[in-house]
Amino acid sequence: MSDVILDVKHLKKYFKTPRGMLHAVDDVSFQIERGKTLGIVGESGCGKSTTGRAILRLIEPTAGEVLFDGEDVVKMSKQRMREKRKEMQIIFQDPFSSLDPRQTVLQAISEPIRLNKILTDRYDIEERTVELMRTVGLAERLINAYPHELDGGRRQRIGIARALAVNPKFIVCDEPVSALDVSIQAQILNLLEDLQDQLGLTYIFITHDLAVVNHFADDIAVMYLGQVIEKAPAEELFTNPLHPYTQALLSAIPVPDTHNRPERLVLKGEITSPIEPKDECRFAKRCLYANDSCHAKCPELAEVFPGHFVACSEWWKRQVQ
Amino acid sequence: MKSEKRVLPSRQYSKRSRLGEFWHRYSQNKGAVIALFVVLAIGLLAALADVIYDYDTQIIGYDLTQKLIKPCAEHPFGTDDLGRDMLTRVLYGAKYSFMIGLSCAALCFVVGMPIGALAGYYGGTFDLLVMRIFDIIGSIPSLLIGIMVVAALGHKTGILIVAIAIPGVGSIASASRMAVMTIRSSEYIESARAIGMKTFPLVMKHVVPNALNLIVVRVTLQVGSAIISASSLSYLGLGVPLPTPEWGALLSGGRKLIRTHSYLTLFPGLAIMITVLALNLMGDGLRDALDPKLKK
Repeated sequence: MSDVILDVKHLKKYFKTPRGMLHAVDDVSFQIERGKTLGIVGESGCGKSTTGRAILRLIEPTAGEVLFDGEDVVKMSKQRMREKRKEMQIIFQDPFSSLDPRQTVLQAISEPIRLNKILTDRYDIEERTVELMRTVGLAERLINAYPHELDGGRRQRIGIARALAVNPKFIVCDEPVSALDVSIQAQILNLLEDLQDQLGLTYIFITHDLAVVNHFADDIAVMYLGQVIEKAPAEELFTNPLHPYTQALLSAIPVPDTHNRPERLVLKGEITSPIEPKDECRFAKRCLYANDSCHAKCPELAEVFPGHFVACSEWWKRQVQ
Repeated sequence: MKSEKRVLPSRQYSKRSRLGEFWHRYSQNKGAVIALFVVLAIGLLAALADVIYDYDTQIIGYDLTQKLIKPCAEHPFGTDDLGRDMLTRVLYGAKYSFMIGLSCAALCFVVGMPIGALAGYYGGTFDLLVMRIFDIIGSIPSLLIGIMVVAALGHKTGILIVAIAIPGVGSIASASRMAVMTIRSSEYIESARAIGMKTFPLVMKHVVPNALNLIVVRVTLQVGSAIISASSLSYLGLGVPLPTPEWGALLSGGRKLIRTHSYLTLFPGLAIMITVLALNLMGDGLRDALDPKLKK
């Protein structure tokens, strides 16, 4: 029996806009096993960050269930939620805005410890802070530095230390490397991977960079306009993408070979508006294979191979040979 | 308990204090440093005006035998048509300008900051309503508002302060609103919520201190513009009345003799200009020094 730590069921987040309801996250369901990483990929505005925040209730979900260790996060009282936040943390995208510019490294990292009264003695708190700094690879001498004195990689390490300070089991990594230089990205990714091994963490890894997620994730969910349109183990998804959107996405990964360029599937057509969408496949307007049935009903995510889910009624016509 | 002596890790490394850091950056801007000293000097003068001078004899006591002496060694700024030393009167006038400027700015801050901050934090209809009201007030020339209020409510210093503060309230409110909106959408606010911080401590610990940085600058500039407004109204005869040596009133008093004795208007004018210029330069310096993101 698999050990599911997080079970998201029919999660929805709608935003009110003057032109109607914006379906940012529309009926998203997935499970993550303890100690694994789920990568969520998709273009900007597809609802991947909103999904991550709704799971942590940093944004209140409109509907759905988020079972964390069997307990529904959405129904928790504020008090219980604050308790639970110790187990569920988030690492933010932009290390330049995710730290209060007025807090030193010590204050930033120790804040969650002091706030949640994990430790109360000042010496213990500072020693724990130093320990966390070592864990994430920050030199102890930076303890009194302000964020603006540090580079993006170091700031991101502070963000990671801050998330780790409460000893979480589960961390949402919201594009943790996309704001960093490529050379630093690898360091941070390795750090996250090491931490997962050492501390047995479970990750949701939100990104738009497929190379990153291939390296990192056990399972990958591809999102398009608020819906998961394909979900599969990472290797399976890369070798046998079934949804036309996933296929187009994968064909856009640059290949460092000038003689053997794979054919690029270029998407044409308009992006469907996420405001009050019709009951049809949301990708149909850009899909190369769309037919009438695609406009008739929104296809549901169905398991077509063991562990491989796809939301496309015509997937079997286009399997990669 | 551990028996060995424990050292706080943060004590082992030097830390530049917040004030030290601030001064380090403020002092990069030489103009702002000079401006700060000018403002301090004028402020000191304003605070000690009544200690240095005797109001009844030196400020309003007249001596017609000394009238209209051009600037000389004994009277560097000359004397007015009632034989009063202009240097004394201009220096003493700092008291009024500073008092009016500071109380206006304080009033703007006390009223405008909470309104703007609430509008920025909650947004929605309240925000819309409040900001439109301030837009309407802002579309009326501030001098006109001053004239209206003083004409309607009377000729008192307290009323003058309120009259000048009205347009400033909107300016501080919109600055506060912008500051709060920027900070509210910052990820560090979300980050604080993610570690379980409640709203009130979050606002007090993360929103207010970061917003104050931005608002303090606007308040400083508000002092300068309040001084100008007060002087303008006094010049028009609606502010502080003569014989009080308010700078605008001094200008007004010298106006009728401007062709023959231009120094009567020159020196109070210069006093206004230097004070406001210094306040503005200081505001610029503060803005650069308080923003931790602007390095070097």
